[in-house]
Amino acid sequence: MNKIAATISILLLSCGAFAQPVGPAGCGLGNQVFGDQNQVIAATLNETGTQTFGITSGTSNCIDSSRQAQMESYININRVELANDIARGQGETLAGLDNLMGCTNQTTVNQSLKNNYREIFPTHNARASYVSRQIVRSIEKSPARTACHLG
Amino acid sequence: MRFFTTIFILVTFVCTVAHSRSQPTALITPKSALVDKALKLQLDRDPTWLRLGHYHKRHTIWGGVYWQSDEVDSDFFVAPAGRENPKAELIATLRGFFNPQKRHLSHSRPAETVKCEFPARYFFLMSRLGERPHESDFSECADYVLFRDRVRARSVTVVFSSYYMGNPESVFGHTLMRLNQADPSPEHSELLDYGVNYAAQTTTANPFLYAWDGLFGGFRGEFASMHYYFKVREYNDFDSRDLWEYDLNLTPAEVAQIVRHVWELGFASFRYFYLTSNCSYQLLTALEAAAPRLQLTSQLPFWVIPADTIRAVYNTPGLVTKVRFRPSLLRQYQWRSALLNTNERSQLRRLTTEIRKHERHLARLQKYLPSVKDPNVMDAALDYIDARFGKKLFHKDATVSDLKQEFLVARSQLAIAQPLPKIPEANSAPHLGHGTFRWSIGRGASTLPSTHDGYTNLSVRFALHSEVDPTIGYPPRSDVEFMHIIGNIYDAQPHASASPRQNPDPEIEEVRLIEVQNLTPYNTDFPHWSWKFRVGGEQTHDTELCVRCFSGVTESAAGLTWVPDSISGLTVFVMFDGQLNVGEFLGGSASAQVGPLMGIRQEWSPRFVTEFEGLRFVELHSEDKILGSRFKFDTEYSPHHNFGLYVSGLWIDSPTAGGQAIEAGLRLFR
Repeated sequence: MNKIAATISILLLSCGAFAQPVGPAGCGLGNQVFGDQNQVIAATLNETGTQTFGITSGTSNCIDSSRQAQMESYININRVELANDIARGQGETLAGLDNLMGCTNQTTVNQSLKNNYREIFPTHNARASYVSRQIVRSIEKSPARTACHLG
Repeated sequence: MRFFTTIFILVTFVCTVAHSRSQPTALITPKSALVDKALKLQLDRDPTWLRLGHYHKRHTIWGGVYWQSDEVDSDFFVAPAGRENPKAELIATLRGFFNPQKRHLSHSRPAETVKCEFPARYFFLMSRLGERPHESDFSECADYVLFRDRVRARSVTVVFSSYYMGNPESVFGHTLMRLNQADPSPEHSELLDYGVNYAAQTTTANPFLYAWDGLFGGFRGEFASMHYYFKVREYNDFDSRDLWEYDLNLTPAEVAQIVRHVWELGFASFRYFYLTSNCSYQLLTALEAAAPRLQLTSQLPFWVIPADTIRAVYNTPGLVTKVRFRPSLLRQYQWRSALLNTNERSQLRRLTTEIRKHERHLARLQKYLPSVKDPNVMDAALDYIDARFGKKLFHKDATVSDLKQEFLVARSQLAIAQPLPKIPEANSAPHLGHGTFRWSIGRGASTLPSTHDGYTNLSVRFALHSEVDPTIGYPPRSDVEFMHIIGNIYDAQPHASASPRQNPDPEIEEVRLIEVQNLTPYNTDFPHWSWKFRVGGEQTHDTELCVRCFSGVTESAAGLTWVPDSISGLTVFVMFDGQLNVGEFLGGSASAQVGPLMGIRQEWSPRFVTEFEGLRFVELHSEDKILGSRFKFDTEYSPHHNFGLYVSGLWIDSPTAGGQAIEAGLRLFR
């Protein structure tokens, strides 16, 4: 019975437009994204699959204030696709990261990241801050280092 | 931790410094005369002002008319009575623009001056008052400026996230807005653009309260902006839903005003009504407020289905410049494997079989992996793991994640493949679909004891799509009906059990509150269940307890669907079905029927579909376990995407009732 009730209400509440409560937003995205790896997604994409991240724009001005913060958020949320793209040496998600790092010669950058896949993602659950550092390190020691605005 | 602290200090510093140097704006009209001028121009009744305040005309029960904003949060109004009084709000807002004092806001939001909180109002009012406002007027608004410069919007796109049959709450689809960055470089990635999303802030996990609050405004709805990649990962990958993107033709001034209004909406909250004031509706009101020439919400009925809002946008002449398709992860896998040659495909099949077999025995797969040398096969296999085990990967299930890691390490040692050719567009762009509201009229003849003789059939359906409706614009084989009311007007006294009556009255035959049928094909790659669910009320036809009684009904079925490659358009499904009718019956209050169900659906063309369904059932409550059969078919041919001809039939064989009914008529969509 409970399952039927759940199904009915889920059906009624489609539109995929129900966010989970996120509490006071403040300058909050930082905490939510970085607090515990992907906890936001895990919490918000729960078994009902409802949608994520109720950060109001009125306060989202405080997000991603530095390149580093932007990269870590990007790595956290895009982890699965980014790992694919780095292993493949190409792809939209990798291009997005290159864009974030201000890289112009993406082919060279992507090749060097691909060569260093193991260093960048040593395990499936490497922390975003670690992955981010390793990405920068891989570029810095490669011929691609002049192609990006790291710093 | 140090990192957060640094950010926090930085942000605080920026905010403090910026707010401390408030610059007075040079005015053409003296400050004191601005309000008079605005009132003289009747700006309080200007449609743009009313839209910016999300005001709507409401009627009292005595026939009076007043204005009230949909917005319910006091932060959104400067005047204490601003919600009901656009004029007071106008005066207070204008005066507030020159008040350097910051207002304290609720919800832990940082305090803001009126001008910094309402840049869109400022721009609108100052332009109308001939003051030539400029973005530099906001230099004192550090938070807004940071937001604006981070978003760097150059254009706007409306995004539709497709219906998702695999996940029942998403069956109607969803819409959001994307603010595209002003970065023309070829390396630019739209993943880094900002998405603007309107969603209910749910406060309960109780399913009944959830439904109640969602339908009747118990939740607050709020706007949120986030990088588009959040949404791509959620919809494209996690849910495996296609995204359809509609680029809008807006002037730079309109785009800038949308950004300002989106900022204002960050301070707003609305009552969320699932059927009317939902994600799609509020997105349109936001667009209309910033670009007053648009008339979008007026094209909609009082209830709002996301696909209808897309059609309202698309049908506005000159508004949509381009429609783009962002395929789901599943589609990407299917496309990758379709591009492989026979040899590669058999390698992939071996690999996917091994993945399934060794999902729990990783060590054996590790030995097998180095033999895969083809990057294309490997790329397809990676997509397979993501599509099949996406949720496990997401939740960092150790076994699957380790397996994936092995693949990735192996993949990184192979060469870079040719870039994947563009994935062909699916046939389900929402703007091409039929209207979601459907009504129909038909004539029927029946030998069933429950209906009998000739009748005229009338029905209305509020939404969305049945399995025989024109398929373009909808997911294949989908069926989602909401509030479908079917009635008959009988030529003569309808049935023996009813009280004698001379005048034929319309009678309700069935009310489908909700019907969803999900026929996802089963295969070893993706072993999906198919299912069906219906809840509503109907006249009984064949239960032992009553030949014709109106009863509450709920039906559920689960089984498998098979789509043979060899016969185009054919779908076969087999399910186990259970149906419960509850009502005032002779000698009982509920009737339960269970049994196997088989269906055949043939899509002759996207506009000509036939579905047959046969059910063999046993009545559980009856002492002698009565067996019966029910067979029905529905076929619809649509010469136009908003107009169809149908023939449907019902055949029942059971000891208590037997007979046939056949019906034909027109169905119209809007």
